[in-house]
Amino acid sequence: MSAETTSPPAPHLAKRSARRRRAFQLGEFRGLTLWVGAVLVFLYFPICVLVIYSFNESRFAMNWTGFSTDWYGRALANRAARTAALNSVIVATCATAMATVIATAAALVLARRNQFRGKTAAIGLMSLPILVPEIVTAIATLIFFSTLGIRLGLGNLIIAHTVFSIPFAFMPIRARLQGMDMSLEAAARDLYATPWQSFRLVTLPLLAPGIMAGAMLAFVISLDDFIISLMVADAGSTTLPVYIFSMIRFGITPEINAISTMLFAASVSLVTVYWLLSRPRR
Amino acid sequence: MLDRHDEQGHDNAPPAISFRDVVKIYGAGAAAFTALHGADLDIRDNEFFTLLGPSGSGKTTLLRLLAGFEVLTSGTIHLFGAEIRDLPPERRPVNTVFQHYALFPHLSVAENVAFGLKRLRRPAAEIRSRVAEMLALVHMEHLADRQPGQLSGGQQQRVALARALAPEPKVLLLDEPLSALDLKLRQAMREELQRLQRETGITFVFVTHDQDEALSMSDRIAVLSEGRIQQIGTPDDLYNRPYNRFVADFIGDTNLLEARVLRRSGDEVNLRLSGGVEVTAAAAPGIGEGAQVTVSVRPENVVLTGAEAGSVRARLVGKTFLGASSLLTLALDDASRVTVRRDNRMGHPEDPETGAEVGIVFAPGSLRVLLP
Ligand SMILES: Nc1ncnc2c1ncn2[C@@H]1O[C@H](COP(=O)(O)OP(=O)(O)OP(=O)(O)O)[C@@H](O)[C@H]1O
Ligand SMILES: [Mg+2]
Repeated sequence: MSAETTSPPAPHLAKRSARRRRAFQLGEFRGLTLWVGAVLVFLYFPICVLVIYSFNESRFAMNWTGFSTDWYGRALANRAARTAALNSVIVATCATAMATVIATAAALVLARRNQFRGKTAAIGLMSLPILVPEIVTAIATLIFFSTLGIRLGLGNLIIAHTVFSIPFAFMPIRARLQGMDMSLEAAARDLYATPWQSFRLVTLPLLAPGIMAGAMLAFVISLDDFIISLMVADAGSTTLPVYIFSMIRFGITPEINAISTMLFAASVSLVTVYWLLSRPRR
Repeated sequence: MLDRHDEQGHDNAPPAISFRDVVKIYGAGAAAFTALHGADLDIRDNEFFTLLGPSGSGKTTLLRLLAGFEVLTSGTIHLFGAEIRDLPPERRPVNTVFQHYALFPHLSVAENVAFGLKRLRRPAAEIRSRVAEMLALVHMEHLADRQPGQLSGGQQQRVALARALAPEPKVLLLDEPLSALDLKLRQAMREELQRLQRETGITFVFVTHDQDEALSMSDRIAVLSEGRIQQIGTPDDLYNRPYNRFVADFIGDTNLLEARVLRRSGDEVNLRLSGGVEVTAAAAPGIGEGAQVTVSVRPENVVLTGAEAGSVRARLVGKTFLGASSLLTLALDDASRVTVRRDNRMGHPEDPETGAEVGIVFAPGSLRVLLP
């Protein structure tokens, strides 16, 4: 943030302070570096293998015979996979739009009202679903739909995805709003802006990075969801993760690897965008 | 409160702003807090008016009621004769300079200044010239394209002023606008604000808890404490004719002496100080014979004499050298303390030694009986 204005210390001082700092910094232990390396390998090795074998020529996934992009061609030509991918994108897009609007409204209400009864509880309840085991949410959602007899095909999925992505959309929006000076809105009103104008011209532009980040996160969460989609989706509305799972039952082929790699690439790019947007500015 | 007195003339022009019995209660039920207990206040057009009081006394509350950010609990506020209770902030011809400026961080300096004019749908050409004029007024024309984040505190302050003045409000509200600036800048801005007020002819309502700021800039001041207006008057009124104990104590340094009223004749009362000495002081309303009262006298109005007749006997117990003047602490016979301010002009008689027996007299008319 603020620029360093102090002049560099004299060389001998610099050396001594560097040595002292080393003694105190856990991050400079050799062993720790190795450990971090091991964790990273553990995390990414399986994914690397998956990505590499998606370029395998052989139809047996674990038997490398040569480089080929054929399986990508196959995957893209696979009708069922394309339908599932399209379903995933439709569900994620609709759920993201709704979840983001709801999360933004909730964050605004919680920021505006300085105090109301149960405010802390409300904030806690907004984030709690993140901690609820997904299988519990999945079963609850299933029971909910079947009890009420709601059978909207993709609509069911969209509703379910909207609900569980709200907390993910909510977090970055709320964080952004907390860092915002609430007197800015008062200033806009003072300068003859109606409540709507002050929202559109001041609050919304300042909140936009948080909203974008929240939307991105909600989209990724929806795109990657498996358990809830498996429970809620009926025959015609399979999403991509559910489709991949059903393919695995017939053995792992490089085609699955190719599809998974593409899904992985989509998630990674969205997360990267999210990360870029949610970085503190300047 | 008893009758509040406003010792300046009462001209007949309607006041720019008038508060009548304004009550503001925050919250409800057990958490309810009364921030204003029935404030009455008239602010004249074209006046530099200051609300002065310690932290939590209700100054900001009064401003926010005027700007429309808070709703009155009871009472009325009139702006140039019109009741404004039901007007939202954007329909009040009032602009605010916020304490931390509240500049829009995503807009440039020029766009900030243009914000109000655009909402008022002024023609583009007019907006452009008005923005340029305002930026010139606060000497910021060279930074028109900067973002607020790239400005110093003093520069942000100027932009906030230009932004609030641009739509030509009838009243400008300033909530401790100088408190975030360093001492040098604060003093320069005092003169700057006075100049702006004179040049624009806009009524300024200025909030501060700094008495020097209030005394040096204002046409008139209202002193607030705990949600009540204690006194309204010119800086001279407040300093020389404080109305009650709070005002005498809050503004400047003062000596507070206990006394009993012996006789009252018109505007004057004869008092016996607790040390037994009889003095004459300006009366306060509702003070009758026999009353036990507090009297205020400023340190510069206490004059050191020899221990001769007609003076109050005292002993020097302490000295503080302040450069231009010194403060001497005296103990009276009844052990009460009096502070005396003495000029350190060259050739002035030396201060007596600590422990010396001296006499003091009070400058004529300098003793004021205070209401509790
Ligand atoms: N929104 C609110 N809810 C509850 N109490 C409030 C609220 N705003 C102010 N108060 C209380 O009202 C009283 C007056 O507040 P106000 O902000 O008017 O004081 P002030 O004179 O401006 O003080 P300062 O010099 O510290 O700014 C304070 O005791 C404050 O705690
Ligand atoms: Mg205040």
